Amino acid sequence: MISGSVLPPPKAYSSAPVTSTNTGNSQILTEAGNSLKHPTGPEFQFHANEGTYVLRDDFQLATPPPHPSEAPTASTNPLSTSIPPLVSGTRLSIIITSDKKAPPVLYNLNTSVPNFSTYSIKEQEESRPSQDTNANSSDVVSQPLSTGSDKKAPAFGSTNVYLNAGNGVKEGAKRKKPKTNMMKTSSSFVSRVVPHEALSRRLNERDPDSMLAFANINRSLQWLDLTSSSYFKSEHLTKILFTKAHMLCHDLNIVTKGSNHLDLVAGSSLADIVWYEPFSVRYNRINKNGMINPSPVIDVKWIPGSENLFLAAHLDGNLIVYDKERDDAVFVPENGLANGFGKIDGDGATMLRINKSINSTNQKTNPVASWKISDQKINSFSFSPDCQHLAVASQDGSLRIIDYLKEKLLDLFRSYYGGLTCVCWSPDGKYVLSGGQDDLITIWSLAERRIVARCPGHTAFVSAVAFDPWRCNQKNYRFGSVGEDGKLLLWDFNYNTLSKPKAVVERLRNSITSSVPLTRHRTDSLQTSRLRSNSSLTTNGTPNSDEVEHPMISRTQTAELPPVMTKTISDDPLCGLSFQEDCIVTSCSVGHVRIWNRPKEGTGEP
Amino acid sequence: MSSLFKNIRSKGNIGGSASTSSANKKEPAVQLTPLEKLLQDAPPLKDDSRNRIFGLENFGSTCYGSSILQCLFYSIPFREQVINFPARSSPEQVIRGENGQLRLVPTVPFPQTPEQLAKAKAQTTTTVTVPTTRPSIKPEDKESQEYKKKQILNKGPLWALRYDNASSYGMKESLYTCMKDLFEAICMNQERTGIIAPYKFYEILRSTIHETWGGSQHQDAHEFLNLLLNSVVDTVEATAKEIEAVQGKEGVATENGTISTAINAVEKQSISKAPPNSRWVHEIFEGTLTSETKCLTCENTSHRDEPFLDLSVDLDAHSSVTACLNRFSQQEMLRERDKFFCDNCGGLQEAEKRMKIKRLPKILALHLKRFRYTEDMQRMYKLFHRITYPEQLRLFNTTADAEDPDRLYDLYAVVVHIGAGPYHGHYVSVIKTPEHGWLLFDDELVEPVDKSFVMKFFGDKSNLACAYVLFYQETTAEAVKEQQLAEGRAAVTKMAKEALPVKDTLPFGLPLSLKTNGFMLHHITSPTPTSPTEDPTSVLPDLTHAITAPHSSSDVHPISPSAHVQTFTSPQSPPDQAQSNKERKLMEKDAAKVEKAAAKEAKAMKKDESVRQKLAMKTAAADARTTMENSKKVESPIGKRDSGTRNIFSTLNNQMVSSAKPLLDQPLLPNGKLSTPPGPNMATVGAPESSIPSSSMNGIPSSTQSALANYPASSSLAANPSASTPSSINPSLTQDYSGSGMSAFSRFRQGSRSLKHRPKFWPGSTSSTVNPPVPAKASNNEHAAEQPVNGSAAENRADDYAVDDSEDGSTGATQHKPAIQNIPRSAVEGPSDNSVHDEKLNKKRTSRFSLRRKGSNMLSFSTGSDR
Repeated sequence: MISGSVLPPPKAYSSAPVTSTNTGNSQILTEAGNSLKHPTGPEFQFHANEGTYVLRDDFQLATPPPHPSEAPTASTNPLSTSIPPLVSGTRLSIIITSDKKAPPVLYNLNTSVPNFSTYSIKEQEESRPSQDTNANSSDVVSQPLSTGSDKKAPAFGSTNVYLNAGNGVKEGAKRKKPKTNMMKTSSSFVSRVVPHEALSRRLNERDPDSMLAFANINRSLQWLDLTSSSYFKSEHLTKILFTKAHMLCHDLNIVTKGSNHLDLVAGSSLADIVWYEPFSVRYNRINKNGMINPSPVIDVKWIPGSENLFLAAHLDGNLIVYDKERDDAVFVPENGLANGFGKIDGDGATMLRINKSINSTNQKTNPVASWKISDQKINSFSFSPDCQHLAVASQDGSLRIIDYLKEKLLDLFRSYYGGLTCVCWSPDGKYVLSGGQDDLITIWSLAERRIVARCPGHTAFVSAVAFDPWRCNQKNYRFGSVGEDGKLLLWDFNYNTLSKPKAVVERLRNSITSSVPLTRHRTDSLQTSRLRSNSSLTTNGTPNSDEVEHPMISRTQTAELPPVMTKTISDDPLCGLSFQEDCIVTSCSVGHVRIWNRPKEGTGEP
Repeated sequence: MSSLFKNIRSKGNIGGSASTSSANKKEPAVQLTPLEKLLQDAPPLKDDSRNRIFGLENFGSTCYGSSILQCLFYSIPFREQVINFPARSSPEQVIRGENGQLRLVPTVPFPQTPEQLAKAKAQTTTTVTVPTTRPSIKPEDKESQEYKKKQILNKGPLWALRYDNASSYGMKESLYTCMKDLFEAICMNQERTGIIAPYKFYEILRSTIHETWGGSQHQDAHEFLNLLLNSVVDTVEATAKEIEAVQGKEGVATENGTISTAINAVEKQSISKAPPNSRWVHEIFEGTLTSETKCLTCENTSHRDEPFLDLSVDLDAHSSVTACLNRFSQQEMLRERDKFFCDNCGGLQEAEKRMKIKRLPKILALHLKRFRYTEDMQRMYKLFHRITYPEQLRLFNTTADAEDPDRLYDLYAVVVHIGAGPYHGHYVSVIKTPEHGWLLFDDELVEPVDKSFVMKFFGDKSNLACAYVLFYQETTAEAVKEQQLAEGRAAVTKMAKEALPVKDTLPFGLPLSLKTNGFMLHHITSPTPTSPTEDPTSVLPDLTHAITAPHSSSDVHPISPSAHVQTFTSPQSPPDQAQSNKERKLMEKDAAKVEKAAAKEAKAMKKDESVRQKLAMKTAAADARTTMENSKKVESPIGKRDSGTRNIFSTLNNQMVSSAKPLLDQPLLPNGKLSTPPGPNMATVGAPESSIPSSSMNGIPSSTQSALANYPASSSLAANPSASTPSSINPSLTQDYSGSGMSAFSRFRQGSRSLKHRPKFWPGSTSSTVNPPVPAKASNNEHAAEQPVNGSAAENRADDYAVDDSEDGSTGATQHKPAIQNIPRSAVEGPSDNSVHDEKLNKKRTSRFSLRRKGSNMLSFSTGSDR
């Protein structure tokens, strides 16, 4: 049969440098296995202060061809106005079932101060050994992280009796598994499930510290063991092929992880959400056929500390909390308005419309809670380490900080221009990073409620940002970013050594700037209703600090941070980045996954 | 008379749909183009030039012109100035010439009445039973631009702009006045939409610039923009001077009375006697670049300002417009041969140079330099680099003392180039209109599109369509926020209106492309049924709306509870479902009744209109005759137009290897089922097909039809597969692509001065792809030679835009069906003497088809899936 690949225009002029890439392989739509290579050479390494990162593995995930029942994408016409199916690049959800390699816990859960204001990383470091065991033990015992102490905010939804009424046993007991066995299902949603021939053997012999990962590509979802020692490394543990749905996002639950149990939640382009347990090969479909919300799920994450609640961001601007075990039902908003935004009160941008509160008494079925933040596309969201805040990046260029326990919108920041594509929190919860279509990564301070720095360096849209918790310490935050330019950039951020633009320096000299008042402001912020006056913040132009919305600050008045390492690591747009204890994992839009070993001279422990 | 036409048009395209719908006994439903659907809700026309959307006819390869002219038309500040300078014509002046003759008259008659069609059918010899299925026009063919354009041209109305109105506002004929006439013809038109054929504009273009422009030769859109803007600047400045001169010396008699007319016109509009603004083009498009050159010897920095009307940026693979602009302003080392003459040191020194933007223009036109020149092959090639462009933009490369360095720009127009190389290709533009959102302007065809459509043209190896020129207009953050809110609101209300039951997971299910101008919701890959009778979308919205009526009025839940009732049994008890089923059936009946009633009414109206039309036609007979004469004169361009485009795009096809799409071989019936294996069906379908298109062509001036007959001949003339390399390269042009920072200016200057030089695109060179020889199948035509070996691409489809094709390879004579391109080889249009030939072809195709079926998708996927 014809290979059916859409090749670039054949080189009419023999030396015409059409931008050919080596992804010609991946474009071929015949199904093949994953391939694994180990290229070496200077172009497969990059250097940073701490040493050289060397490429360890170079995977190419098999791209599945379209399902036979699916009508061929008829667009021979590049001007066809029909909307193509939503696709996302390959992203990875990585987990290690044992706790040995857990990232350092930089967010102090057990302090008596119920916020992160006076917290300093140094203190944390000193008390780390004891902390570690605490944290680890809490993992093992599977207590929700956020209820470490009395003074902490209650776990999400735990106050709602109705919500927890039906919940089963928590600790010790067997984990709940999804209802349907994927291998035996007759549903047309899943096309095929392909477990590895030697799956049980592989699982039994698996190193408990092994790095398990789920990767989505096109309409397949693969379960992989990425540990370096694995013999079968390139071969999937299980591969699931969906008929039409493309899994756009997925997340693994660290609360319920076990050596024989993992809970994966995956959001699809058809609005369905799948809860999948890979060891038993069982799954549930949630929001089946878009019953609750018909728009595709762009991002999905387990709510920190929760065993069964996860948050899904739908393309139409809705954030919906689902319970993995509850059934779907037609959703009627509980605020009297049909699906929110029919009438805009005041400024439509600064609202968090609660269509169903987590505290609602009607908790028989999904959704557990439903919020609408805007009419614009949501691109990404991230939970803060304090398990209280949520940062949402949206296509209209807005970054929203939401207190999801209180269901309140706290801040709305604006990108320099263009949409915001990705967002993440620093390990200590102080800073938020956003990457956008202005090729910039922007650092925002939560406490100061303002922009801290802009980081130019990418030459295309930024697609993913992540902190490297193993290289964050009291002096310095290390974070990385990947973009559509195929580049990986590493950055070192130190608040005190930021080169501030002249205009700001002048102003700051004349007003309070040191860290002490900042602290005070932060504690103030929680004790009072965030009323404060800080003349250094007048660059905002908003004297009223109750204002949720923060206007864009001029480039001339914002610090700029350059990267410490820039490297083009892919010929294709990159879309995924993850820091692990011994490596960095990057993935690109066409299924190319690369694992880079950290430098041998220490893993960055301070 | 124009109001009559308005009435007819507002009833919808009745005649047009008759030619495409199945031959049912009942009246076919009115079929509106997507644009018309969009305009249905538009407020009534006003004289203030808003709300009109017109396509521009393509005379051969004038797409470079149409796309740029549309972009300029929708650059509101520019349009306003053009209309008002030197004076604004009244609608009367536009519609009637100086001798009082009605001239803004559509030359393409309005859609045919069913009687006319019936007559035409009766005249043909073959039976005209068009079966309910037309497997030879595949649904995806109907999606092709060619087909859609054909429909549009059939439908009309089309206004041919052959007049020159310059004297009425006191100017001599020039490119500017032709453009002004064009803009005015659009703005003052009594109709909301249609097609304009700007003959005069291209005539003047040819005569004032160079003979290669405005003909059938391909040109570069950016170059056209450049020369047009420069021409406008020259004309405006000259005119302003004249006006000023006359204003200054009131008593002095002028040589040509025309300027005094202008003054009178100006005075009529009680514009102050202040000198007219001659710099408005500069005020809109011009920015200032500063080149800061720092001599490395004496550390002295010298500045030099240079104005620009647009910025041409070099491209890097996988980058964004932001990054390209930053690169543009990167530091450049001047050394060796490029040493800089420092005034301070008094000698050639090494220097660092960088160019920054000192003053930002109101409208920023960004030219992406996708066409690069290669020394080796001595020709130009196209870069398919992926260049992402954001919806809003701010520039980083401003000088420190620039005022408003954080100026925000908003993307409002994109000129897209489709093609494998610079020498042939097609330009379209995607423009954000203030009243109607994003629209795609593809010559005659105008279609509303989704915002995500705009972002499809970043450029890719697999996509021939890439953004080429970007237009950004200045805006404020508040305005953008307002815009976003409005978009969101519109999307929500649209979603509510179009609320359809949730899709099921089966393919070929309900048609569910929820297209909103804000964001996309459902996506399907199955083609939407296009037969009007089977179009569920016309029924379903009524359904859900009706059913949800009791629940809520304006705020309709996008997935209304009862809509779910129809598809899910679990949440609903059986009696409820039966109830809702009943309701649904009732609704369906009602909807059908309404449709029938509407159709009957339309028919009655048509009859009235046809009578009135005949009268109108008689009164306009004189005009029509003259226009017919004129059209005959331009018959060759029209003929060439077809051949030209065929040429270009067939070669485009050849360059793409098709992807395996076995399912395409199984044409999709409108009711969503796969058609039965073709076998004898194909042959019978083939023959009757031949007559239909010819009858539908009655609407086209006979000149076109005869041109069609001429087509095979003319195409061979036009086709020139032998790669002709330009013998000598114009060094000034070479410089343009050197990629230096000065390139913007050199282009700017070149554009203004060196128009006499050889244009970018060399005449006579077409795609020089080396095409493997094809088993000759009765083809004496060049195109047959361009078939790819595997025979799976169908070059004869000659879609302008085909990226890949999995039609069977085909044969000679039927290749050049210009009109309804997507009836593949089996169907014959036009000259009937080909029918015998085609019978053979039908059979061949049949057999090939069935072979295809054997090796069909099942095999390919099963091998894959067994693993």
